[in-house]
Amino acid sequence: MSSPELVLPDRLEELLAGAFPESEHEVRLQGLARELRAGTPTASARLRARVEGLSTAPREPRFGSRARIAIVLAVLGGLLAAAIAGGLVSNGSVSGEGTGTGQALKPLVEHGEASVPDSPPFRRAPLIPTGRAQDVDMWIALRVEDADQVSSSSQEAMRVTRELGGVVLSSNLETAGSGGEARLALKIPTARVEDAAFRFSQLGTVTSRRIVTADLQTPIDRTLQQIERLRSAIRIARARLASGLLDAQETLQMRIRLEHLRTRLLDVTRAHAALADRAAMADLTLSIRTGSTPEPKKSQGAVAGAAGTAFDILKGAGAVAVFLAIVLSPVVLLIVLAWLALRARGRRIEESLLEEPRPATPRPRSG
Amino acid sequence: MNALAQAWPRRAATGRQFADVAKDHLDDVYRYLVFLTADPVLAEDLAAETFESAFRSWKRFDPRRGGEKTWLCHLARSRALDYFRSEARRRRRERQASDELHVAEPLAEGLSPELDRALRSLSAAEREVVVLRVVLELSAAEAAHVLRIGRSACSMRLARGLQKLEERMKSHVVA
Repeated sequence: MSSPELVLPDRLEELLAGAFPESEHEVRLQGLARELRAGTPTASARLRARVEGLSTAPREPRFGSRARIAIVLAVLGGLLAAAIAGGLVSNGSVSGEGTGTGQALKPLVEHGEASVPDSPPFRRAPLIPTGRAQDVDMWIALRVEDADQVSSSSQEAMRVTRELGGVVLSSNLETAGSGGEARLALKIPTARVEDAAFRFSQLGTVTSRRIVTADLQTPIDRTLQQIERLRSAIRIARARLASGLLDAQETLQMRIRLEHLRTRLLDVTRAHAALADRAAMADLTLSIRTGSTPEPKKSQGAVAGAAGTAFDILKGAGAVAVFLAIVLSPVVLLIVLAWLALRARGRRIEESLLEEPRPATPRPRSG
Repeated sequence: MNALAQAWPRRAATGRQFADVAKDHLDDVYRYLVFLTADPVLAEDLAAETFESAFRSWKRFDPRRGGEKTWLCHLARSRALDYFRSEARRRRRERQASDELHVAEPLAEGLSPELDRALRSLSAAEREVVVLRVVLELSAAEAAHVLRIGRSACSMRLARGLQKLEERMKSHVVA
C-alpha cells in the first residue's frame, strides 16, 4: 500500500478554504475534513447546565486597570508638584530679596569646614560658624546702574568698612562713559563680617559671591599650649640657676638653654599673635560694576528655578538608573537566561506530554 | 436575558457578556478538548473547569490579543496540560504507564469507526492541530497562537497530521 503524499502547507490552506480539488488525494482530504466537521461532538446538556450554572461571584481585582493608572498618575503628579514647589521655594528666597539677576548665581564655596552655601540674603543664616576662630575670605560682586553709582557705592563701602572697624587695603576705580568698575580690598572684623556683607548688598544687586573659611582654632590652641610649656620650662631653668647647686659648667649650659627657651617663646608668641590677627579680621573683596542686563521677572525666575530643580532631580535619577543598570545587569542576564531555560524545558515537557497516547486511564463520569 | 447572564461580568472592551461568549463557544471548547484528550468524559470535566477559569479571568480578557475562541482554547489547553502533567506524575508513581490504555466511548456520534480509531492513534499534538484548523476553523495564525508555535510550523504540523490520519484510516480499512 502506498502512503499518501504530503500536501504542501500552502495548498492545504487553499483546500481548507474551499479550493477546487485537483487530484484524487485532494478530494479525499476534503472529504476527510468534511467528515471531521460533520461528526464533531457537541457539549452535553449536563455540561451546558454546569457552565451556565457558574454562580461563584467573580473576584474583582484589587486594583483595576483604571485604578492602577490613576495611582501611577497621582504619584507622578505628586512628584511633579513637589519638584515645582521645591523650585519655587528655593528661587523665591533669591528673588524675594531683590537679588535675582540675569546671571545665574553659582554655589562658589570652595572649602572650609564651616562654610555655608552661597545664597542671599546674608542675614537669613549665619555665614561664619561661631564659637571657633576662623580665617574668612569673602568675595562679593555687585551690579549698579551707572558709573556714578559705581563711585558712590565705592565711597559708601569704604565708609561702612571704617564704621565697622575695618580698613581699606586697596581700592581701584575705573569709569568709561556710563560704565565703570571698582574693586576694593577690605579687612573687616570677623565678628562684623555678616553686617558688612548685608550692608554691601544694599549698595547694588548681588550678582555673585564667594565665602571661603578655614578653621584656625586648632593651630591657635596648639600655639597656646606651646607657650605654656615654654614658660614652664623657663621657670624651671631660672629656679635651677637660682638654687646655687650647679657648678660652673652646668650653670653655663643652663643659661644657654634658658636663652634658647626665651627665643623659642618669642617665636611662638608671634605666631600666635599672627593667627589671632587672621582670625580677628576677615578679607573681603568687593567688586562693583555697571551692567545692562534687565532684571528678570520673579515669575520667570520661579519657572526657571522649578525647571532647574526638576532637571537636577532627573539628573540624579538618571545617575541612579545607570548605577543600577551596571550593578544589576549581570543578575538580570542570569535571570533572563534561567527564564529562557525554564521556558524551553516547559515546552519540551509539553511536547512530550502531547506525544503520548491518550487516554491513559478511564475517568468515571462526574456528577 | 436571564438573571444569571445579568449577574455575570461584563467587559467594556468587547461589550459582550460572558454568558453570551460561553454560549457561543461551549461546543468549540468541548470539541477541542475531546480531540485533544480523546476522552469525552475527561473533556467534559476539563471544559467545565475551563469555563470556570474563564469566568474568573473574564475581566482580563483583551480582544486585541486574540479572539474569544482563541482565548478559550488557550485556557482549555492549559487545563489539559495541567491534567496531563498530574496524570504523568501519578503514572510514574504507580508504574503503570502503558497497560491502562483505555477507550471509553466514541469521540463523537457522527464519526465513522475508522476515523474514530485513526484519530485515537494520533498523538494529542496531532489531534489538537487538526481540531483547531479543521473542526474549529481557526486561522493558521490563531491556531499557532494557541499552540505557542510559529505559523509555518503549525501548517506543517497540520499537513503531517492529516497525512498520518489518512494513512491510519487506510490501514484500518485494509485490516
